[in-house]
Amino acid sequence: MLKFPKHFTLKSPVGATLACILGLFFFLSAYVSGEFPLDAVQVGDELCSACHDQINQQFQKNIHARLAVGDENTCEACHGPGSKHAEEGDPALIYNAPKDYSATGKNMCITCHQGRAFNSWHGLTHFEAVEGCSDCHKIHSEEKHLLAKQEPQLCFDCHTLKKSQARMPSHHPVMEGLVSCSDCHSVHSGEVKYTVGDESRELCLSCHSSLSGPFIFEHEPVNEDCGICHDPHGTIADKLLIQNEPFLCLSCHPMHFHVTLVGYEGEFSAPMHPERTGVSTRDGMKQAMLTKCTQCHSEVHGSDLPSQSISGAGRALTR
Amino acid sequence: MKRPFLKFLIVAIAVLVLPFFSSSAISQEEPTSSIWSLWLGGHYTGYEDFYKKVGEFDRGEKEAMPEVSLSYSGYKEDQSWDFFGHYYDPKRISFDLSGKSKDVFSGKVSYLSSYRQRATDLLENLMAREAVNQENKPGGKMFTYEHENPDADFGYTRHEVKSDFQVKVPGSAKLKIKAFHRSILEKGDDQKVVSMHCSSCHMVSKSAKVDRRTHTVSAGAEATTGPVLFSYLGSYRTFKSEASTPVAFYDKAEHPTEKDSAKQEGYIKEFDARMVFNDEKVPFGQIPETEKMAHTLKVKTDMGKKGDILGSFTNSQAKNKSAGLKVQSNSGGLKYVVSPSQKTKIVALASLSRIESDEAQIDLPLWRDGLTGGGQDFDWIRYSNLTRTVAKGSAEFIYQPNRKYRVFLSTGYEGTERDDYPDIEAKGKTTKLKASVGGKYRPNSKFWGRIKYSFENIKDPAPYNQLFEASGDTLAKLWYFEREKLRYGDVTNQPTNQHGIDLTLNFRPDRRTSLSAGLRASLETNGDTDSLDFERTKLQPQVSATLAPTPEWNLFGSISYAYDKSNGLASVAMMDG
Repeated sequence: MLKFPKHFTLKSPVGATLACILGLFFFLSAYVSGEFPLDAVQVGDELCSACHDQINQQFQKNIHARLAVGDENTCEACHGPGSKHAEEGDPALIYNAPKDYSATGKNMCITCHQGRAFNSWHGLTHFEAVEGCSDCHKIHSEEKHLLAKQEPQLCFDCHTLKKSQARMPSHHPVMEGLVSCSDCHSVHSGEVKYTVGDESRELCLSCHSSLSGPFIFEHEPVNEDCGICHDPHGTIADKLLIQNEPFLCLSCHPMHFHVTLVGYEGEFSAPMHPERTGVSTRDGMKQAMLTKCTQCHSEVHGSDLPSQSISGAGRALTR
Repeated sequence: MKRPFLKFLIVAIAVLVLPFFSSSAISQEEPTSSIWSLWLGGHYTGYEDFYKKVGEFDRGEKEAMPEVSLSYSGYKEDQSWDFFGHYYDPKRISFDLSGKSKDVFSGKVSYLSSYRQRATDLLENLMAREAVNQENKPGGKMFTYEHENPDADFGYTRHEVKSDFQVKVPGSAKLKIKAFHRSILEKGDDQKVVSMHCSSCHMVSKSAKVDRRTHTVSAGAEATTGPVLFSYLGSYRTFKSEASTPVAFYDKAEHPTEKDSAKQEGYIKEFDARMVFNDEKVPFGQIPETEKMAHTLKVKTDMGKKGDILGSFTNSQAKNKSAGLKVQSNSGGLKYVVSPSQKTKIVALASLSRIESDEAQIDLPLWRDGLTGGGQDFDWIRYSNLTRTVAKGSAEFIYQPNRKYRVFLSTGYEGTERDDYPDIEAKGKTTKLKASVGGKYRPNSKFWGRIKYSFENIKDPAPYNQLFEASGDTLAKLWYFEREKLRYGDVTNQPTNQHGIDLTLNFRPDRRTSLSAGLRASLETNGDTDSLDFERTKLQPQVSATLAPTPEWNLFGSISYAYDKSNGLASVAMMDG
């Protein structure tokens, strides 16, 4: 069963606040009403700009306007015939993509934007969730890619968990502006789990090529999916690991031998190498062997070089 | 930050100076237009403790640095060109240059450099010695460490160059040629830690050069004939490390405490007979040279009211040139999209892929050769768990009876069969069954709400653990590995059941105001293990508000709370415990 933490109960401040917000939304959805439009016949750009002058001025620098030089019905190419709307001034009487979008009907933008990137638009979560292209694009603007906001803020508006993760101690440099969401994700094609066409493992290896292998000595989860150990959006643990070492490693591997030995208390030096000295504690052996597995097993992504012991069959990934 | 005054000064100067030095100009003589802007500013970077952690990508240069950026964009009839350049500090510089002509040619070249600060492992936990019989008498098992470069400041600079060109073939508006290029160069220093078995566990930290080079070039074409769109893309990627492979000396195999010469000789024989190498210099941390070639062919057919069919086929070959290993892959997929009516849409997907990874013969010395009870042969064949057949299928149904309601449901299957192991029976297969259902309610243009529930059942999520042990079956040769075998293949952090809920509510009373609230929750469990059950819970409620009183002002605020809890699995030690 889904176990909610204590501070999510209705009696708690957080839970009560959430319940109030839910109630308010449902109340407002029932109280506030809106209408949807009809269609008519074409009237031309000049008439449109008579009322929508501000939008018209902004639109002149827009790529759509530049492509439509000499066309007198640029506005109606997307908005449909506007005679009824012009006569009555009612916003409901003209096609307005944000309001009139249908997930099963025709998408006005895809009428022209049918390139390779849009081949897989059908069937995406974005397709189910959004109200058409205008959720992310301001069609009249002069911004880059006509985006309502630039990355990553545009994506973070909906993907709030990723927004939180981007600020965690270990993260890809999205907030620093060195990596953008669209470097890995293709919101239009999304052929494999919303990423840029490649299988997720191959996607990671396109930048982290030194780990691509194939290696003689493999670490099996590396062949499966990088996401078994890493969360690319950000983690508390170091190196984008979903859990700190050694707990992540212990979720598949047993604890190391020698780990539960009681430690000597005091200064010591290695008898065969007197220059190697240290101070041991009663928990010293546990600290040494249960802190960070990759101190010794450093080639955890795979290696072509055999490790030292024969009993480990060379596959301990220590060199 | 210990220098608040300096920080304040830099910010104050930037604020005061910007209005004078930032400038923009717009000249508009239709149909030619150009816009440019120059931005001057500065930033201050200061670090206290732990800067290597928090400053991983933001280290830059310490103290105050000037900053400048320049942007330019222009167009003339059907030609356009854009430039954006930003100088942050000597290690972080970027620019983008793009142009387009007559919708026939488009090109883009970009450059980005950045610096990544690498952490330094102090290894201080590796200092211990066992107490014999739990009394405070020093024993033979011990850990020590040394840093060859204790004051080293590890990190590397990353340079990335990308270019993208597309041309429509003159006289044939339906044929487009494409070419892409990407190079990533990483240069600097990094920490490498190596163990000096075997007389004691002695770890040594060394500084190693980083000089990694990845180049990718792709070229292809896209052609349209009637309702059919063809596209081909060939891609070639190479990786090579130009840095020399580090070398470490592995100690002579001997007993860690016994100095008596007669006994010592026996111990040397005993320890030496357990090692692949010792008392010699050997390379470590070697990065192989690799390459990958891929060919992708796609076809899309518009069948009008009967829907669209998309097909794709990819053939690829990846090579480890250093070890002489290769991986071959062939995969094909089909997607069918159809709207049986104005109110419904069906999306069906199917794909099949086959990956074959070379096996490798591992030759090792005999275990304790010439000693009593020894002489076992640990040679083995490394079968690869990357060798597999993956079959996927899914169907999605969307029903939107009117603009107020939208319902969607989907179901899917994914089977992964790893068959490169000679004697594993059916354990090498992972099967996933997926389903989701949701709806969107939009009574008017001012409000919408969406809820989605998803479920996934996974059978044998991590059989590769067991496959790993079967790869050569060396464990049966030593008694304590036999005990470990009971655990391997059974325990994993991968779930067998996943539930997810996603709820979003939006209210937009007018064009200037919007309110949003949502909740995401997921639960992952695995009760199939012989030991503890695995469980992971995630919850995230969020509320946000946006207020845009004028087109120039946009105020927004949000608060979200993330809760993530997982119970890790652990087992007792197998020896000495």
